[in-house]
Amino acid sequence: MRAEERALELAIRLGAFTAVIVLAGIITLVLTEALPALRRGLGPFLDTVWAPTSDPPRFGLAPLISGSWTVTSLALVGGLPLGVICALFISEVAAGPWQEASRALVELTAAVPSVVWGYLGLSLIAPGIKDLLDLPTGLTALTAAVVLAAMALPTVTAVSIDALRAVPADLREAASALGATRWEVVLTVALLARRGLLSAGLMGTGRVMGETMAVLMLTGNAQALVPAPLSPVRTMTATLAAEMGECVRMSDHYHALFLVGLILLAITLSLNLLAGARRWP
Amino acid sequence: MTVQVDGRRPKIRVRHLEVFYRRERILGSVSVDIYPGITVILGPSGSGKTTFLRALNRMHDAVVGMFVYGKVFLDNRDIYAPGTNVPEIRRRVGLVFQKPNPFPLSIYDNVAYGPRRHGTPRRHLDEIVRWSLEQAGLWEEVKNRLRAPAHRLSGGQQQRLCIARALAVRPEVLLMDEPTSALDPLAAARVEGLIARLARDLTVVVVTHDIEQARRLDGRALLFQGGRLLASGPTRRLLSSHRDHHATSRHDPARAT
Ligand SMILES: Nc1ncnc2c1ncn2[C@@H]1O[C@H](COP(=O)(O)OP(=O)(O)OP(=O)(O)O)[C@@H](O)[C@H]1O
Ligand SMILES: [Mg+2]
Repeated sequence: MRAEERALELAIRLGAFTAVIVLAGIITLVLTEALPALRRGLGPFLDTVWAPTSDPPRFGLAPLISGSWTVTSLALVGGLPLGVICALFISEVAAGPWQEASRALVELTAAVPSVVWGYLGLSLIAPGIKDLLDLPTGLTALTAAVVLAAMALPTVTAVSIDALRAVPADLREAASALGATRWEVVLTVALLARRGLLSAGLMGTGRVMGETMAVLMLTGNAQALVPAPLSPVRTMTATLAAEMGECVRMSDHYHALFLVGLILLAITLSLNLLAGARRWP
Repeated sequence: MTVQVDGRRPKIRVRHLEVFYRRERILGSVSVDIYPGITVILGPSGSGKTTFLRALNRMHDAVVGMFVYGKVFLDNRDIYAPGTNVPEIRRRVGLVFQKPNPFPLSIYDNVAYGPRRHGTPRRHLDEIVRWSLEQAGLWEEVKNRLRAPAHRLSGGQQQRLCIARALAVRPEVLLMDEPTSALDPLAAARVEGLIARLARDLTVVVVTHDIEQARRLDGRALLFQGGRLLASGPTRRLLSSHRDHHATSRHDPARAT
């Protein structure tokens, strides 16, 4: 018994240790490959155009960052409230087999790979948006945002459900014993779970920020400094995915791409740290 | 059928009340009248005291597998009649749980929770919060930190906060499930005094394991055993005629002599 416990503890420690090592490795790698890009200062990156293969190459980050910002914020505006509402429904309203079934569905959707979402977006949503809004192309920031929102939904919903479940039953009873209606009890539970719901939002944001494939397939990949929701954009992730394979190793382009990666990594890591810190107050 | 005590009419009339958990009957059949003033509920652990109390404001509704049969008249209206506004019943019949369960919000927001749900104008809230905390004997201790989290309070203070929270909706009946069992003797004495004071204006039903407390609170008593109502009547008379039964309570029987 004791030996087993010790073995288990060792395995867990080893796992955690490996995770830390790998993460540290990734950060070091990205840092060492990105820092040479800054050798000539920040100047080149403040350009307004990203055109790494033109002559002379231009490495303006602004259009990529604003592209990511547009797509991400659009996706979050739709995805986060919807995820929380789904969670409230599943955890507080649905009962018995419905609850089980909807939970299973959420977990199933969470496992759908990005490429499948991208394909769905390409074959269904892009043409739909093109026809509906009478646009020259369906590959817009909005298209990508819709698909990203759908991708973030299961994550946000699952984490929100956990947060709502963590509200003790005796507090629900306290609310209804004071004459709160069913809906008031649901809203009270949401209020009491607000920290957990915020974590869910942050984790959903992380998921949206980090998605590459769907965005690559759906944004139209045309850069715009001040992108409109209905025009094509280019995001940081899509740029990485499209260009990393064909850039010359150790070239300025290569290092610039790593700089983009470093920015992304910093954002996602801090979101996850924030989410973790919020979950264990 | 309805007997008047001290010229008062019963506030609650329970008729053929039965509670089932799935197939098992855990309470019943109970028929009894509850009068304004104090009613204490006595009986050994597992005898159905909490089950009975919760049936009086329909708290079993939300529990999957619980079924309640029979009638409970609150001022002549059956609270189990179809179409009853259940939140309204719970506003009129408050419940203080055995374990203090303040919301993880500020002291003020805990007390204001009920009034806010019932559309009390904002300008009246301060006054209601103060009144409720005074009634619960907590005002002096917390008046300078109403915005502090309720969880910083001691166990006894939390229990009094829960009583204040229940009083803030101005209930006509207050149900209390062992409100002093988690408290030290001093805090328990305070809450006991509070109960006696509240019983002047309200119908108060208190579950207790403490025979001495039941005796001091006086009023009427219901004695439960094995999911059935064994006896009811004025507390002193009931206690003297059922010595052996209440001696099975969880607390030191020596104290009950
Ligand atoms: N939620 C529930 N689910 C299943 N059975 C329950 C539930 N609540 C109560 N019971 C059963 O009903 C019976 C009476 O329980 P109850 O809580 O009313 O007793 P009590 O008199 O309040 O006891 P105590 O003095 O220990 O609080 C017990 O046998 C218990 O197992
Ligand atoms: Mg009990």
